[in-house]
Amino acid sequence: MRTTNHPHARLRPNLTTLMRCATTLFVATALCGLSGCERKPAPEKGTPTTQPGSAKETGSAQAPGGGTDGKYLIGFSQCTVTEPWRVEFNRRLIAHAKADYAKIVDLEVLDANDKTEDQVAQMRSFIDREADAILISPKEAAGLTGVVRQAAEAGIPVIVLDRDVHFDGYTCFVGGDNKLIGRAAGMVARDMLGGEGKASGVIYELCGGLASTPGQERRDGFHEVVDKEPGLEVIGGLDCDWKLSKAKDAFQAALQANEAIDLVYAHNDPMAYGAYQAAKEAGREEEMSFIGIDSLPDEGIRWVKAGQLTATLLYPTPGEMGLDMAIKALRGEEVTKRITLPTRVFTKDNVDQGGKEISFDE
Amino acid sequence: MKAKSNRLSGFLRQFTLFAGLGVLFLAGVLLNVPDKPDGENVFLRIGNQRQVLEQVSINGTLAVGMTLVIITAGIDLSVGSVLSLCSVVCAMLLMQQPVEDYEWLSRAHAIMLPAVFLFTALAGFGLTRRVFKWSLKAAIPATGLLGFIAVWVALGCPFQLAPAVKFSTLGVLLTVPLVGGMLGMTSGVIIAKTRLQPFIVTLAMMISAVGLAKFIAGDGGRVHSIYIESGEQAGAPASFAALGEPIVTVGERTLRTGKVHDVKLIPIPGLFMLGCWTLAAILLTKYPFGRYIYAVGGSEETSRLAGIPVDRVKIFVYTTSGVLAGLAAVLFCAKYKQGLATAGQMKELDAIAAVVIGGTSLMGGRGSILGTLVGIMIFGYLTNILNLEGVSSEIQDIVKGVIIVGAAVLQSGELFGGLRWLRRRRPSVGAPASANTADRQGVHV
Repeated sequence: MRTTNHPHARLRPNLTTLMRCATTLFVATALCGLSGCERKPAPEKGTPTTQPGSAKETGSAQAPGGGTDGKYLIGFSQCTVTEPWRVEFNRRLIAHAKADYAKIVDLEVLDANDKTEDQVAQMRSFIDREADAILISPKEAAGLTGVVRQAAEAGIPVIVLDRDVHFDGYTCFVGGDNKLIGRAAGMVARDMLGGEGKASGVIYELCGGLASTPGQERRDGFHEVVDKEPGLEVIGGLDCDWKLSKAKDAFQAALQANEAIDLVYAHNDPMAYGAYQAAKEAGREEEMSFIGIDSLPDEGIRWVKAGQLTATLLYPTPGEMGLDMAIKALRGEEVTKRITLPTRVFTKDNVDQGGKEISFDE
Repeated sequence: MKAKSNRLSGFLRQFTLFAGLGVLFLAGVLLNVPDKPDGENVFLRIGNQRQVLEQVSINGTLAVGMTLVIITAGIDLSVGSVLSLCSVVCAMLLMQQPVEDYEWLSRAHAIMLPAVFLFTALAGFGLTRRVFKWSLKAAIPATGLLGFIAVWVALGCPFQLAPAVKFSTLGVLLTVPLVGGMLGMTSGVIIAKTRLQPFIVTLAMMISAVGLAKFIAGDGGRVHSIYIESGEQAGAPASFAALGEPIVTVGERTLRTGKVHDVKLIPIPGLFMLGCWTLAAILLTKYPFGRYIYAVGGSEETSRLAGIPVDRVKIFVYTTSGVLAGLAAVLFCAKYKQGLATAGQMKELDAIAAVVIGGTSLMGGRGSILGTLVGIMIFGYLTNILNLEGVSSEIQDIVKGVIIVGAAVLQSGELFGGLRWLRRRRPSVGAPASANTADRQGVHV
């Protein structure tokens, strides 16, 4: 072993060799890991696998380019699957097609990766392949109106789901109504705090993205109801971007600044759950109720079952109704032009019975 | 005489460092002066102060690594994405994956294993070569063997051949930062060996890491909630929940009602952040390697000529930054009980802002951990005050931008220089420039 006053004279070649060895080993392990990983995921049939661009099929063997064995070929272009709600949307649609229409429908689900141009291309390919019906959940109205018009003009029944386009020649629109759900949430909150005309208390509101239409509508609908009540005071209203972490941080400060909060209304379930976490850490979760929106099985429903959220309102997925309407159109039956899906409220008492529908008798 | 004036200027520098924070703290106190004589100041409550420390802990941990990187005149844009990735990995390692989804390993395991292997192997190689002074022929097999043993232990295979391996709290605390470290080391090696701009290399890493996070999460970026096991419900160990929560209960008297209620005093994520701060400060001030970091940032060529291992320093700082991003991810998971591919969105910019407010120069060679501490606390108090006042989100963003610039001006100590420049009609050309250069090369901690 050489001794020297400049340790790096000795170190440098070592370092290089070391790096080379490390790199080789790293690449080798990474390759092992990756090849192992490709083999591993074996999702059960029916769960949406969402590799970008891959088609998901249900039913029996299917040849590309048309329905086999005289089945209907129905194409569905989903704008993105990064949101849990859209994952659930696809899951329910595929399950419905499998359960009720396995013998007559070949359903092909494509993911447009949140890109308008991908969605346009997918729609074009469905038109070119002469699909019997097309379902589309558009990313945005302006860029997709043209291709929806083309499909309709080619005589293919088009069912527009969740978001509307600027053209009404399609067969049917199916979607939820965020404003209505906001109003329903307002009614639930009002009833929890004493009922119509008698309600009193402080409500803390946690907003989703206020730059997005759902955020605005969920806020406006809620305020339509609670602002009529003289006893109710709504505070907060911070834009938490639909995120649990932001909602938790905001609500921690709110707990410090406000001695009395009777109810938390969040524009989605994760934000309501974040507020619950903050309240629990401050030991104040018993003082207030938590209301969220969306009711996904893995989120809102689970937290309501565990008694963490007081109530969650369903933002329904339009896939099943959309498929039903497509089949109706193909069979030549009359189709309602515009279907607004009703919301349901889930509380701990009724969550196992599938929630309760809300009627607007005002 | 000279020593005395140095001490004085050092004191003044420390003073300007803390001035912004002091002003902000005072503003917090004054804005929350109670309306009623028997009311209490919400801002000064123990719970509120603890919460500030708790909320800055994730960004604070990131900012430590960022400080080291920026002192070497680099930048690490990938920390936010690495945090996202590691939060997904952490959540997946903690929660038992449903057996029908994966045969026996999840994708999170597939990225954790190479990271564990890499770092154990590196440690093994260092030990055999440097400590035991073995030859290269002996070191390579020893390294590989050690790495494989580590992976074997990480999987828990000596004890169980489980269909899905579930990690303990200590397990994720040890392995998840290594995943971040592996990505940081990748950036570091590319930057050091190819001499590419750190901006572009870490930008590339930022993009890939988010993609990787979404891929590992599955379903294009599924949220992985972490549930704590209780009774028959399976989930993460209870000690993991404790990791995100405050400890040490004290009684605090509410002035108005006179009732004493329990308040938790010390947030555990805050302790982790303080630990990182301390270690980094000691490294920077007490160890030759810490001085190398400054030297590399001051002048890379001079450092190379002086025999400083520039490449090693660079690889070290990016690896550290990655490791700390991984640690921050574990803290994120512990605090919010979820791992998701958007957890660290924009966090790299918060960290950079905090470092710059703290007086660390983006040109490199100048800066301190203490400054970053101040920068991060300014952020924390600002958010807290605005939230306590119930200021709407749009206004909060405007105020934040203004305060960041204001604080940076105040910390840089250039405010008074700037005013002098305004007063003087015709500034001399040579003098201020040379003074500036001298200042930039001066190292202060």
